[in-house]
Amino acid sequence: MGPLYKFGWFDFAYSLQLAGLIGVLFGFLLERAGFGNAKKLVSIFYLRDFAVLKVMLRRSWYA
Amino acid sequence: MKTRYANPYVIGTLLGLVLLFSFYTMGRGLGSSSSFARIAVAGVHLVAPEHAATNPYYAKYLGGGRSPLMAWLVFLTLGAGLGGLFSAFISNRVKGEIVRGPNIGAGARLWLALFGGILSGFAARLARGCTSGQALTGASELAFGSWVFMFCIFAGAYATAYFLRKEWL
Repeated sequence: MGPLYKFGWFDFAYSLQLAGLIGVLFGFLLERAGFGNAKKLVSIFYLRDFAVLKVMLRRSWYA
Repeated sequence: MKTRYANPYVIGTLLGLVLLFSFYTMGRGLGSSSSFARIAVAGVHLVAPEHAATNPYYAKYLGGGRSPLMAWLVFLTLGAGLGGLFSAFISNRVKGEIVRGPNIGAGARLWLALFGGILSGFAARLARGCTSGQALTGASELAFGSWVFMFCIFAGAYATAYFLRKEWL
């Protein structure tokens, strides 16, 4: 049963390590999609590239 | 050789699963803006501890006898930087450059970026979240305020993007 942290499965120090791990996955996936590129990020506002919208919609669909 | 960016639908799916994992293990979503607030609070606490302790905004980050930097989102943001760097590294995308349009010099572009950063940082604290905390996490929880936030972000950007097109693209 989750969330695991609230039910005492691990302590605060471990939660910070987990934060680092989840952060690495988060940053890795964002860069994979091209979100490390400022021009690609803003291009949705010039109706050129809709990658930002596609990622956002699909992510909301699954979580 | 530069590799192409991944399919946005695949990345969106995987991001959703990372978010789900975060909810299951920690009961918390992903965000980033409050880690910058925490860095600011740690700085104020370092030079003016009395002021930090009496200011209600700063004080709420200072409880529990821990440094304001020993926090979930601070470590998440550090990890995100490392993960992004790793992804860029394996695709040969790591390089120093100032991304700018044809109509602006490098120095002016950096000042504009600083101004935009101050504006968005201030606004993110007013809105109690940035595009990560509000639009990513909040919208996935179907929080009404987060969806309002997201539409406002897009409305504001579409309204102003035209005027800055020569600085950007």
